[in-house]
Amino acid sequence: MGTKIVKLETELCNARLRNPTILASGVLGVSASVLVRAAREGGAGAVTTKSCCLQPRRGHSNPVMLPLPRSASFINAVGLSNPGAEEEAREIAAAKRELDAARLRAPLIASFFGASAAEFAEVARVLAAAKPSLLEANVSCPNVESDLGRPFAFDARACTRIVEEVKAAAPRIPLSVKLSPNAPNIVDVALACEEAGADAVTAVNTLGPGMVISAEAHAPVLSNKVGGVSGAALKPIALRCVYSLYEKLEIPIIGTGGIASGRDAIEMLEAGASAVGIGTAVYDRGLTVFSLVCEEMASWMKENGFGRTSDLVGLAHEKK
Amino acid sequence: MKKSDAFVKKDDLAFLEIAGVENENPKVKTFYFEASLNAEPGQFVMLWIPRVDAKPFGVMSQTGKARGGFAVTVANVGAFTKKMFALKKGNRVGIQGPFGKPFEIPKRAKRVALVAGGFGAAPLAFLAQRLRAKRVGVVFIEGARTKANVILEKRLRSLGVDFRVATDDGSAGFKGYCTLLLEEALKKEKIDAVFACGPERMMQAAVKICQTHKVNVQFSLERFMKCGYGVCGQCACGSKLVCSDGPVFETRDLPELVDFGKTRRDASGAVMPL
Repeated sequence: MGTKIVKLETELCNARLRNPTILASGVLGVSASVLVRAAREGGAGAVTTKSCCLQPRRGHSNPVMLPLPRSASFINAVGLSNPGAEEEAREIAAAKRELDAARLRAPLIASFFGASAAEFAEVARVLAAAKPSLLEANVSCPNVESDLGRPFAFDARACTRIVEEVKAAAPRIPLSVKLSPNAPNIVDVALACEEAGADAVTAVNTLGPGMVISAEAHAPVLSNKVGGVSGAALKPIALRCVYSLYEKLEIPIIGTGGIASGRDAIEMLEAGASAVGIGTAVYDRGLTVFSLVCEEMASWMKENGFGRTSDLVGLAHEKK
Repeated sequence: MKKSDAFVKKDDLAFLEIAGVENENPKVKTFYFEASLNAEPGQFVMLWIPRVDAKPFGVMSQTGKARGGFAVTVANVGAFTKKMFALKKGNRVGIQGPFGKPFEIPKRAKRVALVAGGFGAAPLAFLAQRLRAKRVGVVFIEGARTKANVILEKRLRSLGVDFRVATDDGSAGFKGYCTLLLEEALKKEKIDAVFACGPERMMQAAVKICQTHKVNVQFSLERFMKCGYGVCGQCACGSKLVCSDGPVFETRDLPELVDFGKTRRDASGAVMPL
């Protein structure tokens, strides 16, 4: 086998990506300049901002993030710190200007959340003014239960309401919903989102929550005690979620969870993702992890005779 | 495991006994630990008090390798450091590190200037220790509000540095900014490189002076830090991450450090004036 030309260009909700790697939300995405750097220097095909809500939040006290030794995984409970939607909209506009100035055609995805469907809609309206390529509704953060309650991602009806209200508030910007791997009914929730008008789903947010304990300190290490698990530990669960979603959904899936290499990305596409989110691997492989994953994907595709990423999507499924 | 056999690592939390506490002045203490850190000058550790918080601190000194030891100097400036000040010899804290990019010692440097503003003297004291071990001449310029605020003077003098001090009120040394002492040194003496740590406006002035005199300058930045691993993005200064691309930067990084001397971000990520 083998093919001469490999093209990594990917289309996602009417946006064109140079390659299918996307900087996942919550990693590096606090400031416009660093988002732009992830695309320029890191090679990301698209970048996602850190989730924001209407009013500023400080998030949890430190420690908020720990590597899990010997497992290429992280646990985090940053606690959705953000400067509020107005400030975030300015950051998004600045990032778009910088991306345009650098002639980088890397779409910008704006992640957001709220305590109610009404807040989701209001934040979407504010962010839409900055014209992100895609809105990503984060209904699935596992480490804010103490003040935001159980994630909406467990409740199909709540997600229906969020999607309907967001689509009404920001009808021109495509919407993805970030799902939880902890929801036993993830497929039902995704179907509800699709039916309510979502244009994509992002699968998945972090796993758990989990906990790290310091034996000597006799205490949990994260100040929030519990946090979401990401990285290699999440990958098999993310693959299973994406595989199940692909069986039922028409809309595209952004597959996120434990992607660190080209082979990981290929597996995720074969499970049914149209593009892949990368977050935790920024730690192990550095900012250029996106370029590295793309190089590895291209050489695998060349060796195995695949010319386009779209040819790989859903290949792990039995043909009907 | 004996305490002295302990190794501190970046990916694993060590829980260490405080081996000693030294009062530098009523607002500044040095905490000693007996464990191998293998840090380079300019790097920092995350210090964790269970159920309270964790904050970054520059390493102030480091000794030995087999029986390793290190120290951090802490100023009582906020809620976390207030808790820190209540800790005594024998109490234990969590330590992770070393984090960040260290100062780089130019190969052919014979005599260098270190300019410290306030608590910025702590990480530069570790650099001075390393420079003196390499027999590099060190002019150490420390700026403080008053004589009572001058820290680490005895330790630095014992390293054999040329110690010069500037105070706002003239109660010790030169009356005025420490950057003026730097400018004078660059005018009159042969200085091969400059290292700065302190308030950002002071470092901005130091950078300007060094650029005028065409001397390479490295400076250590501070930003609100969350993860320390270059992942969360909270400590961005321009397109650089202070925790992993820094905290030490140099002149050639300035085009990327667009926020330098201008703005910082609070815990929420909101931009505000320095």
